[in-house]
Amino acid sequence: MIPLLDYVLVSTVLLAIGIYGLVSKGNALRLFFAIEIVVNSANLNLVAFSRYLSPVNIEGQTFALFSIAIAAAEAAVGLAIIIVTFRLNKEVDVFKLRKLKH
Amino acid sequence: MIEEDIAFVVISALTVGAAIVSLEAKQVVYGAIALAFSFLGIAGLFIVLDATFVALFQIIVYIGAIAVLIIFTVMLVTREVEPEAKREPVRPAGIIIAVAVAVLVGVVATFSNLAQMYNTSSFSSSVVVAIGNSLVNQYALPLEILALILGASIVGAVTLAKVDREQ
Repeated sequence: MIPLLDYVLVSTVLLAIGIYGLVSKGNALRLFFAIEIVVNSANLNLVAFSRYLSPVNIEGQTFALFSIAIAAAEAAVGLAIIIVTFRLNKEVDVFKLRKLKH
Repeated sequence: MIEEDIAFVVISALTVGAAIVSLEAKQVVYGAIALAFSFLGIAGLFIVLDATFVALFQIIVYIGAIAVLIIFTVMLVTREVEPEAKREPVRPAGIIIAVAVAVLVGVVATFSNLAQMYNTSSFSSSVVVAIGNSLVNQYALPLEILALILGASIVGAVTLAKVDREQ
């Protein structure tokens, strides 16, 4: 039997990778990848804790289903924003998108 | 169980490695494909955790919808594409390799003991039934709100991405 700690550690590593991407990348698509990795690590935590702590093992799974659906909605809007940004600026590097600032 | 440990280690390594590659790959489109593999690894971890329904949901939504959407967006957004080395597709070789693989796998499977194996797994659908019941009873209001969010986000995405022909 795998201890719960192992799943939490894998989830933590994924979270760290996602945060690294969010901090160090400039391409909007890479930032999107990083967000998805973070969401996946959260989902893994939900399912793992549900499996180990809940006697009926459905609460966490239900929450994970909700989380996946929200992630799908977020993906649709986020990718549409990236497409519009590219159409307007010919650029998806967030360090060069400074129009709103000035 | 040693099998479970091996599956956990291999799938975790795949998931983490694919996540790193998705952020560090030279071309964004390779990163998108690596991200799909990372999603697949998460689904595998869900299966190890006895959450088969969530794993199927993960594969359908993440790999079937989000990964494909990401790859299309990458193709729309990325400009600079290095011209690849022009290669003539080698069609007969492909056909020969495909037939050889099919024959090899078929022969090996036929002469193995797969023919004496029957489905005796004790997968119970009670968890799926319980999840469905809790979705429409305990979490009925969140489910409706979720439907509203999904509909609104899709309308918003289409409105954003629509091209005005007049302008």
